[in-house]
Amino acid sequence: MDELSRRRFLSLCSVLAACLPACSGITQRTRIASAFVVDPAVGDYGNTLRAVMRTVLPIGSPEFPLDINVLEERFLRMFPLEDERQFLPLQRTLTYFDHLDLAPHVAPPLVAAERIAVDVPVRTSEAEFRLQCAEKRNAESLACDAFFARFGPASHFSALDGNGQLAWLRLWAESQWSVKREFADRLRVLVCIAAYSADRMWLEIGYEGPLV
Amino acid sequence: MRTIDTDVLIIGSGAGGGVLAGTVTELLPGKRVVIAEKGGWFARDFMKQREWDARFMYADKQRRTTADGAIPVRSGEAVGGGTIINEAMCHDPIPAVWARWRSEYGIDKLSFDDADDYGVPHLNIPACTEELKRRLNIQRVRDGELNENNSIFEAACAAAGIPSQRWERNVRDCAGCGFCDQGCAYDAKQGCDRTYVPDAIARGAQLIHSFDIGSITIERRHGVLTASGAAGRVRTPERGSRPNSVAAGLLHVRAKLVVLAAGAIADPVLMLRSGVPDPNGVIGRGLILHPALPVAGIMDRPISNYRGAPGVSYSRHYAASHGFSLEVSFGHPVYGSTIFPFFGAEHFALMKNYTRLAAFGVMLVDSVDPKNRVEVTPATTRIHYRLSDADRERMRFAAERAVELMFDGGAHEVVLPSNEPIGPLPVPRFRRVADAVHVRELQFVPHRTMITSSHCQATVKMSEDVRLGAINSRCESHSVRNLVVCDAASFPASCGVNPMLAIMALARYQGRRIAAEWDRYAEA
Repeated sequence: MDELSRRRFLSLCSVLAACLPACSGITQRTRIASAFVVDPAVGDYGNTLRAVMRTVLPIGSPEFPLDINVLEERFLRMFPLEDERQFLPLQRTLTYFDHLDLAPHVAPPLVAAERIAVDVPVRTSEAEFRLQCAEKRNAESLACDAFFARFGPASHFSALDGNGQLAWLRLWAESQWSVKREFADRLRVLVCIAAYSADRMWLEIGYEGPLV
Repeated sequence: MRTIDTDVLIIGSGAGGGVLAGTVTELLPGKRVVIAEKGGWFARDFMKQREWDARFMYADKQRRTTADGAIPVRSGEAVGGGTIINEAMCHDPIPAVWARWRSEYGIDKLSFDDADDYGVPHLNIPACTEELKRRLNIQRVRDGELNENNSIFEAACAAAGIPSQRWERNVRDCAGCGFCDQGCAYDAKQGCDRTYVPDAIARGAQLIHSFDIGSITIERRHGVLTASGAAGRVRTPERGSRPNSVAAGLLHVRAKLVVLAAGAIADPVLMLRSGVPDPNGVIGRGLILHPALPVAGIMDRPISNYRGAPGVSYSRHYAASHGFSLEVSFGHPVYGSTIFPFFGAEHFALMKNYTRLAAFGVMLVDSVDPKNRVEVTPATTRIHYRLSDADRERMRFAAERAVELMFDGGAHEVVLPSNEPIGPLPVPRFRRVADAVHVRELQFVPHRTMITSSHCQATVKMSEDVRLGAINSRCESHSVRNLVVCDAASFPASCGVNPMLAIMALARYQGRRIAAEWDRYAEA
């Protein structure tokens, strides 16, 4: 998570970050704006993190050897979200990720750094850039509409059932916006590191581990 | 701030810095040499064969990525540099590649015939390579040392009618444990941490590890900008590191000659942060990563894959025509689990096949693109990298061949680390070889298709033309006297193959040249 500094996160989402505190109408749920300027308490994202872990790995299935408490303990020991500033953006993004109705409303980027976030080459002409952004935004909206059509007007990721959570995480992992894919990808990687560095997982997959 | 005076300061102790330190102390006895290494100094009792613990031997604790977060950029950061955590793959420098550098970048000398470059007897690249092979015990792998993952690859190549080869490896009495990338727990791998750096220390060199160099110090002498040393902070060593030769704190090392060999990411950062003039904007530009795409195949039975020398067999069949090689490699569970962008039961089901997985990878020899660069700002360093359209097209071709080859090896299912839909397939998981054709639709979207990299190169390019490179054929800075940059950063473009031995050959060559031409630097 080293690259996802507070400054970087804000630069990638500058429109969002700027608009939300100002309640400028991106979404009616503007109270979430506080999450971007005030460090969220662990209670604000803890449920989301656990739900993400259950989605990344089939925790609870009879074959899977780790339970959620063991995995969460390992995760927080390896990635101390509460103790290291480098993880603040992860906390905030988890909070944002939990609010389903914010996601379709990512505004078009204005600054160069945001162009990386939307996968449009920095040197693309302005007209082409706007066209590509519009296409991506439409595709993103369609995907989100399909999600809500299937899972109803849910408001929080952590309140969805397992299928809904998997669909929402996939929506991010397959998003048009690089910044959303990066978040889903990195969360997946962190959860896998925490799980597959555990001896109990090795037994389950037939890996015999170290020789020394 | 404490000050140490020395004749030669070498920043970095990997394939470049380590060999230079060993060579300079060998050929310039009596000259004082300081080796400055950012990482710690880890002995075999630190190597616990656990992926998570091994992060301390990697740059940025193995979290370094491109600016968009999509491509891990791995390199060693410990005494020994990359040679402590690589898989001991050795390939001679390729004459055709260096000939191209000579014609395209105007580099001089670095001969491949039996030349006496700079008037030094037998100073040429093949002679230096042979000297390295003797010291590092570089030998070809024998039949009995091949695990099944490598055997499957060789059989697949034979079935497909393409030649395969085996790496030479710098090992002595290799136990075949398979944990090369986590440091060798048996002192079998002959990296610089076990060879050239101890050689240099035995001859009187001072090793200062855990040393964060903040800047190279540059003075104006007789109207000429001249490197005079480097300054930074020595950290308290990481847990598990050997003790240091100096206490933690600020430190300035004054030197007659400064050799920068901190790797292709750190070298341009240090130069730009230190104010090395860059009138043509070439420092950091044209980064080469050798982007790699892992390919996994599920076999019908368990195979030996994570035990045994991990990467032994490879094929350069497409190297000349399409600029890529196919190389066997295999990851332990943490790495294996992170490269597949699947979730939940689908991900776990794949991991349950761990002992039945065969794996190799595509390694693309990427083209120089000035937009791919190391960017340095006062606050941060960013590694900008995107596959060019032409490289993406070659990667598609390579991936299609790789999928076909995995089926030739007997896999009943082949998986690419991607969640991109291609043709009728929701993700690139292939159950019949006829579907390999759909790889042509793969876009390599960042964070959807996993590209890895471990071979950063070409950020401080050698060229006699100051518009093309920041250093000359002696690896000396065009802008600052008595500053030499000698490692993978110095290559003008990709060296065409896994780079360790090419870096070492360049370092051995320049080390011998520096010893012969010491008066060139001694005046300062």
